[in-house]
Amino acid sequence: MTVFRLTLAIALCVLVAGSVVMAARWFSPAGRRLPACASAFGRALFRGRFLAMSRSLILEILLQFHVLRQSPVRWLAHFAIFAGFFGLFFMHALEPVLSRPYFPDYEPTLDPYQFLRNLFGAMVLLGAALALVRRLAVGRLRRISGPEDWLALGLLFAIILSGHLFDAAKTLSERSFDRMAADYLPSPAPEELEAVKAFWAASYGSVFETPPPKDPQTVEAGKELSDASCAMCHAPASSAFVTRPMVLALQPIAPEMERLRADEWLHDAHYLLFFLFIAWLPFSKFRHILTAPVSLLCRAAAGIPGEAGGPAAETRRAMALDACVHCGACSLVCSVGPSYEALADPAVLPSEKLKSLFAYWRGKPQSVRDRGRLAEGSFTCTACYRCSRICPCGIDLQDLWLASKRELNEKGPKDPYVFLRGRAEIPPPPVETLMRPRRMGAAHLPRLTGDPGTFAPCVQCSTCTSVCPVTAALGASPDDIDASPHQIMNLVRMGLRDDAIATRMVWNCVTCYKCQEFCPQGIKVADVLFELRNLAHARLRDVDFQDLGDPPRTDAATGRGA
Amino acid sequence: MERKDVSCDVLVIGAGLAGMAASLFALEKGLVTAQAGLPGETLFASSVLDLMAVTPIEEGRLWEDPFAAIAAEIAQNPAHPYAKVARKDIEAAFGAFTGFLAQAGMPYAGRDGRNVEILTPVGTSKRTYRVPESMWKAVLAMEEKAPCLIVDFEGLKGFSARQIAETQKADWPGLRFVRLDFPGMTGDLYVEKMAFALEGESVRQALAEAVRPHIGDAAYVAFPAVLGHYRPGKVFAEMERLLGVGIFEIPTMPPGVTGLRLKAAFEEGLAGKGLKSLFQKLVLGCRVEEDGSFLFSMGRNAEEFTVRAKAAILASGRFFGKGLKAERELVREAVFGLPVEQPKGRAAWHQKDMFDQAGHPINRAGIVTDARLRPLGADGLPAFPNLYAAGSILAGQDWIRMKCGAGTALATAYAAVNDIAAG
Repeated sequence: MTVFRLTLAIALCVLVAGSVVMAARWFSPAGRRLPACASAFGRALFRGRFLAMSRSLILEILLQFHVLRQSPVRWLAHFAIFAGFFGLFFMHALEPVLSRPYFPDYEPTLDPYQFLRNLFGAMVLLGAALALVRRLAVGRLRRISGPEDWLALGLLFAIILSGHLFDAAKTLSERSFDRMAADYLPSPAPEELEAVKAFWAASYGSVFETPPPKDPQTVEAGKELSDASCAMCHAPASSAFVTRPMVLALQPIAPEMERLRADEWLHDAHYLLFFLFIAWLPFSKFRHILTAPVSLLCRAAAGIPGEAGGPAAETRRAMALDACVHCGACSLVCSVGPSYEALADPAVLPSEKLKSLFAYWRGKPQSVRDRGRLAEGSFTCTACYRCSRICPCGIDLQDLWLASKRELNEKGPKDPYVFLRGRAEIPPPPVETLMRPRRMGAAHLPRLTGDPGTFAPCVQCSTCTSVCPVTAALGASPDDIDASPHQIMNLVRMGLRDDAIATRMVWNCVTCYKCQEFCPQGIKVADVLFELRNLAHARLRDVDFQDLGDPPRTDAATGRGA
Repeated sequence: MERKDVSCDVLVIGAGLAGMAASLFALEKGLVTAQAGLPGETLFASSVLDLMAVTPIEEGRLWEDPFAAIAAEIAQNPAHPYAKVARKDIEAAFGAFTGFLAQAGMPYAGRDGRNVEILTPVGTSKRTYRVPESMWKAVLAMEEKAPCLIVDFEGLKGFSARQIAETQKADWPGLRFVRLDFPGMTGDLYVEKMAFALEGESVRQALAEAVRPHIGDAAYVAFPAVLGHYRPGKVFAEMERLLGVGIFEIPTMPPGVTGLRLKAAFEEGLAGKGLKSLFQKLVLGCRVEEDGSFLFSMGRNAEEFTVRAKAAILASGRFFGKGLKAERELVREAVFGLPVEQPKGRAAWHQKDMFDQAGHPINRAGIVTDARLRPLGADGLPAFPNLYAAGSILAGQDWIRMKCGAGTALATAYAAVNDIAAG
């Protein structure tokens, strides 16, 4: 037992240390950020955000209704894991400190506790199975799922399954039976012991080296004895609806398990896996158990969009990096998702860009290529706000992107339009890159802009420009609109694709699709703007940024990487 | 992508004036209605509703009584679609249509049984039947030849107050003009943005400040049609209050805010009545089920879903609307491949003179129907027992020159829906 206590102590230390380091990251430099956060928190309470925070605590953090509204399947999966896991945690893992002191009749093998343990276990297994199937079935989700996602799911399965298997192995084990019999059947007559064995074999499925008799009289006699000595601590096997089928399935190999002392090592494995979970928590996606509630409360307190700048916003950004569960919800709704398909650059998708940004902001070494990809993903983003709205952990993703774009524009690689402007002669990708469509995606092919049919019906009626919210927003400063949407359509129609790419408008488009919706001729205006961007990104991959005046890179990595 | 197959009593194909009217009438008859097509072309509508003003077009004869004009046209040209709709149905169609638009915040005005006259953006006058209330004082001002100030804006293309005043000078000497900077905007102006800006109080006040010194003796002030997009009634009333004189709008060159207002009124109002809107989706193919209903294959490029419809109304418009497709020698109907009544060979499509007052034969090409507005197949019988056609795709009319576009759209949509509802 001391080994377990020691392991548990180590795991808890790791958990505490990891969490403290994480929280320190959020609030450092503490002199600047702590007071700002405290005052922001105070302001929120003072301004009556208390109700919103209570609402978030009940509806979002405990019941997760915001996920239910988005996707009932995702909610079912997550809520089953959440409720089952915490049910087990409080009732079963904290048995010595909660269940026993507060429930005088508590006994893990008595109902309702036995039933509840099975119910919670079944919920976690069902939820994890749903999550697994969803990750495998949704194409984009499968592609962005990494080792951590699979490991986390695997650990959940392993903890719950090892627990139930341990339970089953113990029920099957003769040695366990003998130990219990020695304690609770004081000096039984041999035929009495036989009768109890017969009853346990018949109703609980225990397996004995010398099979006890099966005749009804003996079993009935065993039942009476068992009722007198065992039933006060053992509910009928039927309420253990997860363990029971395992017992029946394992009966054929029960003697072998007994020989290998399976009940003992399954017990150890169950404990160690759970300790592993505790220690891994602050370093894995499981940290969202701690961070997501904080992030959701912050969102409720600050509102969305929150404060644009200042130390409190920096803390929220740092927190956001830790709150992500990599559930992929943002990537499934991303408006520039099609660019991911075309550019084959995962950093286009919010969930992947967040990982990249995590590395960038935490100062982890990044290759030039990774940095280029981060920039590509960042500048493909149109700040449409969908990711912020859907994030189940309450992360204001858009705020992260706006901040990272500002930073990239200072430190490089910059907004592609900055390079492209006035440099219409950017060489097309070399042939060998064209031969590698998997890496390049389809972005180097001018599917729409190379097809005269795309523009043939355009009558330059300027409807697209008239309804464009970007030209409206920038209307006061004509410098910002160097070309309006209908003029870009005309540039492309005249074959001046490179000039079109180098306009600011192409990069200012917010992909609201109003132009495309309103076009009386059904021209795919927004899709064309999209394609121009993708073409530019695909080309920039093969351009040496230093030749274009990009500030020298500080990265240790050399060359452009493949 | 999620696939949502639709089932309905009637599918309206086309989202212009005729299609929107057909959907409205069908919904009001309690039919389960779906509508497909690109509503963007509504942006080209001036929002005035013509009934019939010119016939015979060779003579350019103008009529005050549109119903008398219709009778005269039918007498001479029995192929005109109006020949298939009774006067009471035409009146009922206008009543239902303008009633719906009034509810949607776009009330109309006019005189029963009489055409009225308004100004166009190039300064000519035009006869029409019903005008948005924001243009009604144009009718009064023109009848009175009252002193008026026409305002235009630096940077707004296709609208010159000076041109309007110069063109009307001989008949209407009291017209004056002024060109102003639009508050808060420079460079090229776009009407949608101006209309949106005017929904804000400060812009209205700034505009009123700029106009006020020029009013002088004017009884009315005229603006290009930019007075509000989503709440035109409010913007109009506020501007009138701020200026202290009557105001009216003159339609701008298409595409304009007048069309945007119509589009918004349709899309919101029809959705409120339960329309299954499939805007942006096109009919890609069609087959007839055993019970006679249509099974349409729908999508943008490839099939995305199907629509099962007991009946369909083809309101896909002419060449610009892509209901008719002009090939080198032949005009085809785009959705069903119906026979198109047309001049024989390209040489016969046009007159020698582009501006020939009689119009070009190709302008009268279109779909021929039976008396119940069901398109005829090659054998002269209805191509389908449950397919109807409405609006400008119909043969036998030259709506631009006759000034009968909106009336034809409303009347034929109304008659087609009545026939479907009578089932």
